[in-house]
Amino acid sequence: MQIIGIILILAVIGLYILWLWYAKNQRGADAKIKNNIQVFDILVKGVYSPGVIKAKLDKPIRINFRREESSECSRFVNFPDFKIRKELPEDKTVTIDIVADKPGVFIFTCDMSMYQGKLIIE
Amino acid sequence: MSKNEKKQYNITGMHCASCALTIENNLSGLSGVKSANVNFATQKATVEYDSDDCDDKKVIQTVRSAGYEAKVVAVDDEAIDHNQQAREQEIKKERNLFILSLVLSIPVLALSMILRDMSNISRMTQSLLAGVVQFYIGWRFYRGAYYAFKNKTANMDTLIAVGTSAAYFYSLTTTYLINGEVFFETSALLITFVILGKWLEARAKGKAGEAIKKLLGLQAKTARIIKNGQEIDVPIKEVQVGDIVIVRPGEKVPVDGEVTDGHSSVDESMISGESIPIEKSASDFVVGATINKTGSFKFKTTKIGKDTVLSQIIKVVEDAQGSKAPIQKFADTISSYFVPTVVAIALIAFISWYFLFLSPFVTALLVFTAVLVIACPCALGLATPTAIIVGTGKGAENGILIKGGEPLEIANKIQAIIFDKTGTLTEGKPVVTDIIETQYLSVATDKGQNEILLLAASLENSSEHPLAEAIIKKAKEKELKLLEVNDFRAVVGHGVSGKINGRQILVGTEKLMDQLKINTPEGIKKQKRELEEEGKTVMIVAAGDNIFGLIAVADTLKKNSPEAIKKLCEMKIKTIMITGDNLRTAQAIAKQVGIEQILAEVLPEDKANEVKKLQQQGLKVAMVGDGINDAPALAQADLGIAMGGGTDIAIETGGIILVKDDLSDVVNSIKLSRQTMSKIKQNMFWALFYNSVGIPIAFLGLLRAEFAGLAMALSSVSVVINSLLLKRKKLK
Repeated sequence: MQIIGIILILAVIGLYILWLWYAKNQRGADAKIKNNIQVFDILVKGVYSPGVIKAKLDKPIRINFRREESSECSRFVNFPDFKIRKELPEDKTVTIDIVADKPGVFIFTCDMSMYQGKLIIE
Repeated sequence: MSKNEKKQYNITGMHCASCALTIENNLSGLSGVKSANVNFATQKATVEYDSDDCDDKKVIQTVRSAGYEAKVVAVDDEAIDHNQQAREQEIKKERNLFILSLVLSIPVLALSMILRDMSNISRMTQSLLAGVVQFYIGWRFYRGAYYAFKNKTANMDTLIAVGTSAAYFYSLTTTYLINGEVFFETSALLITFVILGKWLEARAKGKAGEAIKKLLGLQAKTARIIKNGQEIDVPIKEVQVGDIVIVRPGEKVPVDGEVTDGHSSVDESMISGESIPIEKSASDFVVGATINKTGSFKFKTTKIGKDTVLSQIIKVVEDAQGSKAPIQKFADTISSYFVPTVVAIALIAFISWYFLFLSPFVTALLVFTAVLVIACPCALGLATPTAIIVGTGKGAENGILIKGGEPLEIANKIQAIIFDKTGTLTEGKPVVTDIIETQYLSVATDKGQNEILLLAASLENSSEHPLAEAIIKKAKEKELKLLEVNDFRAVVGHGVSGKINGRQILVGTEKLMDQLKINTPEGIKKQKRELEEEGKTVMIVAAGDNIFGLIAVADTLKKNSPEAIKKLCEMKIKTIMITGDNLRTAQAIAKQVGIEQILAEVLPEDKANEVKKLQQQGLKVAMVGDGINDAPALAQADLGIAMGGGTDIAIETGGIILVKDDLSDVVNSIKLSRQTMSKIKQNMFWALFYNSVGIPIAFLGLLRAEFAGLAMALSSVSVVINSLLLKRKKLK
């Protein structure tokens, strides 16, 4: 019995490490290119979907958020690194334009940080 | 030609859906109305009518005759109103769900814990009641967890859905399929407590954001303007720039403007926090939403709608309340690892109990549930935003507008504050105190003095410097007629020159004279020194190569300046004065006000550089100015504090904007920032402490799952309440 337990615990730890690795190396959704603008569509419903988006440096980024839920939590989206905060009214598409002038991983969140997404600029 | 108009009205007095129907029927019967739609939930009516046959008045009258009140919805108000309503509905919804959940959970609790009724009927009843809680009230957790799962992640909902499902489905199995205990009360109470937490949190968050609501409430609804020679009341929305508005005693000033006629005292406390009414007469500026006390006056509208001081304040506060402080990044990072980590710990807890300690399956399952539900990333997420909302709201009530989390956090770390002298430490209204002639150093005559004043004033008439204003004012007092100036030139920070009656005249500093190789006699220099040691700014007036005389100008210190500087010293903040004045004058002023360090003879364009130099010494520097000629310095500083708020420039450049022209608000804003930051830190500590203690306790099986859920709910609430306590702290 104990041996099974230890194996299972190791399995859980292994899965956890695997998840950490996965989270770190998440590729991120690619942009659709429209008129030389990198366009992403993110659905806000329980989470940001897709949660990780990948953009190229020095090309304008446009993110269309669509919030399809009434939960108070996700009413605003924040890009603290770009000093952007926008309200996402229910069932409406809100566009956020970002200038991709610095490479890096930028987190975007709701006001209380329960929703988290990543914008990777490379 | 007929014109269709579609308008919205706020309806008050409705208490059921049939009221809405009644109003709708009445409106539809009104001539000219094409369609009428009354929404009970939003308390609004949307009416489309032909403007030839119908108007606002008729619509409002019709609603009134049906027994309700209607008001036109202003476009700007609409969005804000909607938000407010959405929030209130959210709170109501949470409350109702909590009550329902509680009503369903109590019988489950009674049957299992109090009556200890283990009969089949009791178990089946429990499974039904708990089932409603689990799948009707708790549906949102499943939904949230599902979306998270679809995106290969996990969130708060995952924890609760998995935790409660474990308890519920196990009990369901033991009720209908195998032998064993039931734990319906665990899952039902857990969901009840989590919903309770959500309700309290929503309520407290609403409280925290009350400042905005209060500010919005200040807005006047109507204005009395003069149109075609008649006094008429118009809705605030229809007031135009340039309209003449009449304000009677006890009335609200509707918009911003300049007094043209009359005299009164105005209570500006709602905007600036200043409790003593301010005297207003012709050419004084009045601000919308302030209250006229004693007299009547007329003013010309200068700003309306979103340009008014009040609207700008609301915008700054609104933006600030949603902003994140840099410290939040730390919490965000933890949050992103939180849920999967907790799931892993919970699984390890289950395996340890079941396989390693060989305890019954039920025990292991309950420990698993408890670990899942005690973990609360919410408290961590609430730590910063709630404190910022309360802190910035409290600031706004006291005339201190903090632009967001970032300035707030920096204000807390400030080591040195640079004050611009003119207009910041002093009133910025200099007056001429001495006029001295060279030829008659000992015996002054009016004639000689007037000539100097006349020349200086004529020249300075083209300049915009505050000192110029003082000289011109003095000339006007003496009823001197200014002369024509040709070839006017201003040497920024040094003086002005120009030709009067063909003679080259100079008014400026000793440096300017030196540059132009004009010799200043020793006697004059001595007199100048003496005046400067009294804190006066002295200008030399020269004609051609000859020094004509001196004009000394002094500016009075603001009443609260010395007190504020003293307090800052007590707070261990270094104070520095920056000025274009020469060192002697600056030293004299610095001594009066009690400031430690002086940066004198700094040209306006070099102010930003001086700030930079201090920053290079490793100091976190704040700059206090009025934003007019020191905007670059305000921007360069780690924190720009703009005084005499309400002006666009001040709002643009400052990280903190002081509505009142009072230096003690510099002290107060630093204090408020410190208080807010310490709240944030306390909140963070509690959230982390709570999780780091709660999880091990649950792991060890020392806490029943439902109490773990209650503890989780209360941890969020305690963070919000701690933030609300900030409201009570004194600034003064």
